[in-house]
Parts: sequence; structure tokens; C-alpha cells
Amino acid sequence: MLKAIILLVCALQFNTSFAQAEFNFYLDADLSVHKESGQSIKNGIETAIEFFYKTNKNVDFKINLVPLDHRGNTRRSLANFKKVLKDPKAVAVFGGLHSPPLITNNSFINNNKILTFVSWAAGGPISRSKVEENWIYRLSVDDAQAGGFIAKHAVVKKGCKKPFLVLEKTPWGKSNEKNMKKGLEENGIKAHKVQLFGWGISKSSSAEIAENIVKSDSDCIFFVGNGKDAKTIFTSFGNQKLSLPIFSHWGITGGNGQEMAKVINKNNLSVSIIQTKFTFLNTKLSTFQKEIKALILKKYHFSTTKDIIPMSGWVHSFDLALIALNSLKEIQKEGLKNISKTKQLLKNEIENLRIPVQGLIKNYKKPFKSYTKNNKNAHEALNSNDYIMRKFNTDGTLL
Amino acid sequence: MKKSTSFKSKFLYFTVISFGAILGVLLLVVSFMLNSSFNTQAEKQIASSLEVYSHKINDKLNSISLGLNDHAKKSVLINPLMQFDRNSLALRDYLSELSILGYKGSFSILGFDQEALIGSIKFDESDFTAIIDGERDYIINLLSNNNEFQFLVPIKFSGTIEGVLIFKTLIPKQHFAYASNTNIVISNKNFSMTIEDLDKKIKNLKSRQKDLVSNFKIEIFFDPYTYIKNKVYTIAMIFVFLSLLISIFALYFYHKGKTNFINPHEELLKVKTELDNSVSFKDSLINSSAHIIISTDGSGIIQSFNSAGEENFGYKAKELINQSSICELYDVKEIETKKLKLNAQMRSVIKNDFDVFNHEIKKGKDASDTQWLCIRKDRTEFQGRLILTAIKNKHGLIQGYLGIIEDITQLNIAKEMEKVVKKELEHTARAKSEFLANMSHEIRTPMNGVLGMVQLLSETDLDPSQSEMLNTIHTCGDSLLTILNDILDFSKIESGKMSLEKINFNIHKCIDNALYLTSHNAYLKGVTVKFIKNESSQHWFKGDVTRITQILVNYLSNAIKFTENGEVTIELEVKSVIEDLAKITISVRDTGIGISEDALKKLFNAFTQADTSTTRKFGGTGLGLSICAKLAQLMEGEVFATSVLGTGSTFGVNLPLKCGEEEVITEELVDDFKEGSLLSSNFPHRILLVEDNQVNQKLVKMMLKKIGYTCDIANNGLEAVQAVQQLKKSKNLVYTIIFMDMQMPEMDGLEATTVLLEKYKSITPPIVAMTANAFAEDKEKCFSVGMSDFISKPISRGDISRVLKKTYNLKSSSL
Repeated sequence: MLKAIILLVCALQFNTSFAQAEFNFYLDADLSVHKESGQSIKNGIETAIEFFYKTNKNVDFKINLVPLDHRGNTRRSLANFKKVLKDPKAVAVFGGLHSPPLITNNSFINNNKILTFVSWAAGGPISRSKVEENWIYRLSVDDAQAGGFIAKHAVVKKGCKKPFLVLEKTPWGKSNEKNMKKGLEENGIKAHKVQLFGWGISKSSSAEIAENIVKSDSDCIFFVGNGKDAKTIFTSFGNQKLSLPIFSHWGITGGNGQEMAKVINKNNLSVSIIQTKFTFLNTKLSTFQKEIKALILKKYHFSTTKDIIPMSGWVHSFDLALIALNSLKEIQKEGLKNISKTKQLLKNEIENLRIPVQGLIKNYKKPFKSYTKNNKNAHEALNSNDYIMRKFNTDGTLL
Repeated sequence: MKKSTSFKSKFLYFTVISFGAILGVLLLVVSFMLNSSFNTQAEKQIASSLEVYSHKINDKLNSISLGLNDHAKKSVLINPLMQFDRNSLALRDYLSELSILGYKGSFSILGFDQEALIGSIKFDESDFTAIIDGERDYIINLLSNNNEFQFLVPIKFSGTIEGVLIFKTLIPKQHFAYASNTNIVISNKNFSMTIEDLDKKIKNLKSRQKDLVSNFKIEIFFDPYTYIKNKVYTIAMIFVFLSLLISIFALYFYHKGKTNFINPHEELLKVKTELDNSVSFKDSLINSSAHIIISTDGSGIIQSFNSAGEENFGYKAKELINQSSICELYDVKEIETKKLKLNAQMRSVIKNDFDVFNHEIKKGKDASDTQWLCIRKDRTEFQGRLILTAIKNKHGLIQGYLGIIEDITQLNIAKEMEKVVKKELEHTARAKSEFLANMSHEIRTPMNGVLGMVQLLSETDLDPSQSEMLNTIHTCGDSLLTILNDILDFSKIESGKMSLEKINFNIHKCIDNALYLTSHNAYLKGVTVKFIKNESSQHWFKGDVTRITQILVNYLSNAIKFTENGEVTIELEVKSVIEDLAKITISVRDTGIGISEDALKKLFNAFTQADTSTTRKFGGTGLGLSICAKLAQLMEGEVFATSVLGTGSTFGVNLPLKCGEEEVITEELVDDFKEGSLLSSNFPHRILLVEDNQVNQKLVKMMLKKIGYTCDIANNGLEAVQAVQQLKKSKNLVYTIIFMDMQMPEMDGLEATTVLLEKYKSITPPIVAMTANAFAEDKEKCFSVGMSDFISKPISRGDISRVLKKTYNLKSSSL
């Protein structure tokens, strides 16, 4: 009897010690209003997980992806983070599309040490913590650098001298106003006029913006806003027969690209959008990139790479998830039993990547570092060298 | 009249007594009915008022909720909510100024998790859940006994509910109420509110209760007390009402009685008077007529005879009425003759004399219109026109006849006169036409000689002053010829003798021709002439190309004449082609002196120029444009003109033309020979000239000599026939062409041609008419007798050359 009890205990002990660790990656994104964008982030993470398990056989943990929808609502995002805190398996949150939730809830995230990976939100303050801890990492366009990049491109390459800034009236819009103005000054000119607008802008208000631009004698337009509002505003530009070049932040790519391309073409507008450099539409792809492309086409039953849209959400979240997964793999030897310890170890690993990770955009050697006030870009995986200005093709892809 | 008044009084008396009796009975019945229906009516009014009230209150509250919903969609609310920005000054400013349908109040905005973004209004959690979960579009709560209401509406972003807007406000009771006899009590489970003066008496009355909004009730009491404040008042009202009703009835029956009894009586009297008047009127009407009016019975016995009848026939009416037949007023012999004729025609026997007059009407004709020899009392006669109609009764049976006789003696004389005058006029017109033809011939013949000789003389050696004098003679001669042509054309049109041709022609060719004819003048004046052909596939039409060319030459000549500097443009536009009918416009535009508006109006009238000084400066009879207008009119078209004084004028013509068939144009090189070159070497001919006028003989002979020909001459048609025979007989040769004048002594050109072609066809060459008879019918006559071509005088050398070349080819094939 005793022997039997000992055997049972041993069996249980054995089973416990060999049980595979299970973690949850949370997705806190806009899966309603700009559902195409939220969906692309989710698909990028899913692709990375599949690729990771396909290429790594000795992995001692299981990853689940739990999608949560913040609908662009800061308060809903906060509620989602609170939900994550209650989950003992939650190891990280992938945040995306819309900067306001991540900026407003920045202190809550860092104070509660929620490891957050941002693959599609450009607000400058997101990766720059106001509190001591900084648990937010970004692999995306960074406004702190994007504003300057757009300004330089417009002034130096396109000869713009009197830019009219049209920005959404949110912290994201305002931070861009600041960065763009700074970028313009660095290139020797000043913003000619600035106009802010609220989300869900009406046709009459957008017509007023268009009229103001016509009256202002400006020679180009800088645009910072989301796709939904951009359609309304661009239509008003078309109605006023505005033919000035538009240099846009990438918010307009959130949503249905085909519809946006249709609006731009219908209104005869010239819109250049900031993007990161890699696209599956490149004529020359590396073996790795080809492999990922093949994986996506097969997994999502796509016939062409043009179906991988919006591509930036997809690519960024793939690279970021792959860095997170590889880092998790690196620390699995050090133990994955205590979730708090695991998160801390993971944070350390991410900031000191031992093995470079091959991503779609580039090979990440040490993409992130420890954040200090002197190194404000420490949690930014990309910089202005990774940016490019692209235009919409008629089919909704970015050329 | 007295009888009528008494009848009227009795009737009025009867009416009053009858309705007095009815009054009492009716009062009782109506009082009873009023009493019994009072309660029912009151109930209905209560129900109706309550219905109106419930709608009004509902509408008011719903309107506030909808207004609130509109504000909840604004970005000024949405943006701070989505970013949960509690410090939004814009939002605070907006809400502090906000009033809904004029109601001010306090606001709260709650996030999806009930966290307040702004405001601190207390709310029921279940209400919040119902809104945020989308179960209710809005919720309205009554909060206190101070009429305080709370409204909850969702705040949506892109279709999803992201928060709740709460509005608390005070709506005074009187904002719902609108009638003094209605009181409202609004209540919910916690409290009740009543109007202070709502006493027990009202509470005992019937009431209705209605649910308006889910969680509160509004009770509305209708107070009928005001209707029955005073019993006496109510009864008085009933009596007043009944009195009014009875009065109306009394009036109604009085009216009916009057209509049924008094009015017919008065109507009869009125009809009698009208009838008397009508008879009198009829008599005066008949007697005042200038025509004789007689009525008879069915057998023709005279029943009435008017004053005109008495005057014309000499009988008094009383001598004839009921005593004589109408037949006695007519010639017995004529009646007898017509009777016999009718019997023969109709195969029936008309025995009665009167049937001779009325047989047509008996057959069903409405009226007969015949002429008769009428016999007066003194047996003198006059020619009368009798219009006889039947007088029928209401069944359509003939009761008698009405005859109207008109003395047409004078009318017949006038008709005879008219025939004589017409004959005379026709004779005059014929004479005028012949005179015109003779004038044409007689003036053209010497003119031909003058101009021809001048042309020949100008080719001899002359000193400069002689040349100048000769030029003047030539110019004057040309002008005289133009004036002559104009006068002849004008006379021709005026007398209606102008006939139009309808031949297939090319409009471009026609305009080219007009341009060619005027080009010399344009060249001399240094005026450029342009032709603008607007693209149209239709170039061929059917019409009188000669007359169209004439109009265009006239326009072009004028335009060139009045343009000192600049250019003249002729423009063709085919405006429409529908089936085979085309409408074309040809306009000639110049940059000349222009014409004033007043002058422009008169310009197409004969003998009119823009002003009298124009005649002095530019010459002309002023007939040209008038002829153009008349020609266009004959072609069913119209002319038009516009002008700006000092800038220029545009003259045009709109013509409807039938589409023609396309032909291959053979370009005619009329002036392809140069001075001195001999046409005879290329186109040899043996020529016979048949001309009675010696000047013309010489002229043609010299013209022919100039281009290398000689000719034989015959002085008339007879000599021509002989000459043709003689040449064959003596030299075994035949002429290759005969130039034949038309009007000659002994045998004219037409007869000579007929003889030659009938008797000597094998030795008769093509015969070309060479005549001063320039009218279209002359031309037609020439062709009809077999002539092959036509040259009108004055003859030009170009004309002769053209014919010689053309006929040479003919000769080759036929002779």
C-alpha cells in the first residue's frame, strides 16, 4: 500500500516537473473600428508563432494568443490591461493601432510591469516612460523620428516651402505637430498654418479645412490622422480641386487600403505615406523573406502578396513577436515557473539579445536596450534609416 | 296682382301656426336627447383630450432625448471620452453652454465602465447597463416632485457604444399643459404631485390614466365642471339653441312653400308678358328686315307678309294673308316650265304649283335656295332669290313654310359687269406681257449691237482718250443692260409671269459661278472675296439655279460696290436635311459702309436704296434687292439683311430646296483660248448665221473671225432652209452648226428649225438659238422644237466659243 502511495506521489511529482509551461500573449488592439489593422497585427503574431515552432524543436513552452478589442477607447484598453494583470499566464501584451490608449495608460502599464510590445502606434511618448520603470517596447514608426523624417522628405526632396499641417486633435496629433514643426525648423522653414480636427470629423468641418488651405497660399500639406477621417477630409480636398502634394503619417493606412486608394484616385490627390522599408511587394526577397511569404500565403489561403494588408501591421508584429519568442526560448533554461520572474527575465533578455533574430525588416542584433533618460530611443527597434515614403497603388497596396 | 298678395298672406299665416305647434313638441324631444347625450359627449371629450395630452407629453420628452442624442454624436464629446481626457476644456465649455430644446441643466459623461469623465449626476445602474448594452436608445426618469427629469443617452463612436451622456433638467408643469380645464398629475412610485386647487369634487369625476414612459405615470384629469357651472345657464343655452333651430325650420318651410306655390303663379304671369313681348319683338324684327319675309301654311297660303314685302310687291299684307298662295307672287309661266322640267326629271307628277317651290324640303332638305322671276302688284317684274325653310312642330311635322326673298336684280347686273372687267383685265395683262417681251427684244437687239461693236472697237488701235471714251460707253452700256434686265425681271415677277426651273444643280458650282461673274469688279476694286463652305454632304439640289445665281450675283455686286477696303465673304450653310428637303442659307458679308436700321427695313422694297445719296454715289435703280426678295419668295424662301453702320452688312437668303442627285461635274473651260489663238484649228466648223439685223450679222461675223471662223448668212428662216439645201446640192457639203435668231420676217427661227428638222434632218446640223428673247419660256420653246443650245443676246465671244466646242463633238458623232 505504502509502495503504491510512494509510486503515485512520484508519478505526480514527475508529471509536475515535466509539465510544459503555458503562456498567454495578449493582443490589445482596435478590432472594431479599424478591424483590418487590428487583424493584421493578430495575423503577424500568429505567423511568427507558427514559424517559431516550425523552426525551433526544443521549445519547452506553449503560447496562446488572446485577442482583446479596445475599439480605440483608452478606457477599454485600460480595462484590458487590468484583465491581463489578473491572468497568471499572461506574459506580454501586443498593443496596436492608436497611440492614445498607450500614451494615456503609459504609467499604469509601467507601474504594473506589464511587458508590452507595440507594433503599430507611433506616438512618441509610448516608449518613453514618465515613471521609473519602462516596460513598453516598440517596433514601428516612432513619431519622435517620423515627424522629422516627413519634414525632411517634403522640404529637401520635394521642395515644400509653405506646409499646411492638418492633424487630429489627440495627444498623437499634438505630438506630431511638435515633432513636425521641429523637423521643419531643422530644415530651415516654419509651418505655414496648422489646423487640428476631432475624430469623426463632419463633411462641413472638413470642407472648412479645405477652404482654409486654399485661402492660405500653402504649397504642400502634412496630414496626421486615421483612415476614417482621412477619407472625409481627402474628399473635401478633391471637392476644392486641391492639387497640393500631401505628406501623410501612416495613420491613413489603418483600415481598408483599397477604399483609401479609391478616395485618393477619385479626388486626384498625390499622397505620400511614411512606411517602414520592407514590403512583400519588393521584387527581390531574401530566402528568409520568401519563406515567410510562402508561409503566410499558405496559412491564410492567399493567392497573392497583395492580400497581405495592411502590410506594416503584419510585418512589424511578425518581427516583434519573433524577437519575443526567441527571447523566451533563451530564458527557458533559467526557468519559466514563476510568471513574475519569467517576465523580468524576458525583459532582460529583450534588452540584451544574446542571439540575433532575423526579421523581415532587418536582422535584429540588439534592437532594444535599457531605457535611461539619456537614451530615449532605447526601446525603439527601428529608426529613420528604416523609413521610406510610399504611395497607394490603385489596388490598395503601397508602392 | 291683388289675388297674388292675398294668397301670399294666407300662406305666411299657415306657416307660422304650423311651426308654433311643432315648436313645443320639438323642444321636448331635443331637451330629452340633449340630456341623454350630455354624458356621452363629455366622456368623448375627456378621452380625446387625454389622447392629445399623452402625445404632447411624449413628444416633448422624446424631442429632448433625440436632441440629446444629436449632441452625443459630436466629436467634442467623443474625443475626450475615447481618450478619457478629464481635462478637456473644450468639452467643459461646450457642456456649460449647452441647452436642450431651451432647457438648461447639468450633464454627466460616463465611460463604458461607469467611470465618470465629467459630472456627478446620480443614476440607476440598471439604466446605465440598459444604455451601454444597447438595449434602450434612451431612458427618461422623473426625479422629484419639482418636475425634475433625467435623460440617459448613449455616446457612440463609429457605431459602437463607448459611454453614456446623462442630462438632468427641470421642466415646469405648465410646459405640458395648454388648456385651463385640464389638470395634470405626474407621479411615480416614490411621490405624487397634484395641482393645489384640485378639490374633491374633481376627484369624483371620471378620470383616465395612461402609461407614458416605462417607469413613471402621468395621470390627466379632464374637468367638465366648467360646462355645467350653472344649471340655468345650461337650460337657457338649450332654449336658445332650440329657438334657433325652429327659426331655421320655419324659414326653410317658408322658402319651400314659396318655391312650390307662389313662384309658379308668378312665373305664369311672367311667361305671358314675355310671350306678348316676344310676339311684338318678332313682328318688329320681321318688319324691320330689308328682305321680304313671307310665311305660309303647309299648302302655300300666305300667313304673314312683312313691310319689305309690301314695299317690293306693292300688296298690303291683309290683301294676301289667308287669301293668296305664295305662287301668285311669281311668274306663272316660269312655275309651269319648272313644273314640267321637274316632272320629267323626277318621273313623278307635280300637280300643285307650290310643290315646285317646296319639293326639296319635303324630301328632307333643310332649306331650298332658288331664283325666280317675281311679279309685283302692278305686274312689273324683278329677279328674286327665295330661301325657303320649313316651320315644324315639336314632332318634326311640317306646319308651314318661311320664305325670305331678296331682290337680286342689281346683283346680277354687277356680276355681269365683273365678267366684262375681268376679261378686259386679262386682255390688258396679256398685252402687258407681250409688250414686255417685245421691249426685251427690241432693246436688247440694238444693245447687243452697241456692246458688241464697242468690244470689237476696243480691240483696234486707239489713242488713250479714245480708249477711255470707249470704256465709258461700255460701262454705260453694261449698266443700261443691267437696268433693263432688272426692269424686265421686276415687271415679269409683278405680272406673275415669272416661271421657275427645277433642274439638278451643284450649289458649290452655283456659288463659284456667281463669284466668277463678279470677280472682275472685285479685282478692279481690290476687294478680296472669300467663299466659306460649311461642311455638309449635301451639295446637289433641285431648283432654279439661274435665279439663285442671280440673287447671289446681286448680293455680291452690291457688297463689292459698297466695300472700299476689306473683304467680302460668301458663306453657305446647309441647315437641315429632312428626308429629301434641305434648308440652305447663303449669306454675303461685307466690310462696307453699312446701312442704318431704318433704311434696312425698306431695303427690299422696289426702287429703294439706303439713302438718296447712295444712288448718286453708287448708282443703281434700287430694283436689285427687291428682285432678290421676290425671287426668294417665289422659291418659298426668304431674304434677310443685318447691318452695322460703318462696319458692314450681311445679306442672305434662306431657301428650301429639294435634294438632287449627285452628278459628275464637267468643268467648263469657257475662256480657255487666248487672244489671237484660233479655235477653228482645233474645232473646225461650217457655220450658217441666220439673223435679220444687219448690225448683229456684222457683229457675229467679226466675233467669229476673231477666233478663225467664217460664216454664211441667211436673212431669215426661209433663206436658212434654202441655204442648207443649196450647200448640199451645189457642194455636197453640210453645215456643222447654225446660229438661229428667233424673231425674223417671213419665217421665224422656231418655224425654220421645225421645217429643217422635219424635212431635211439628215443635212441639218445642231441649231443654236441666238436671240434677245431671254425669258425662260423662250428658251423652252427653242428646245421643244429641237434646238440644241441657247445663247442670249448680247452675245459674248466666250458663249460662241463654248457652243462651237460643244457642238464640234456632237457634229463628229452625228454627221
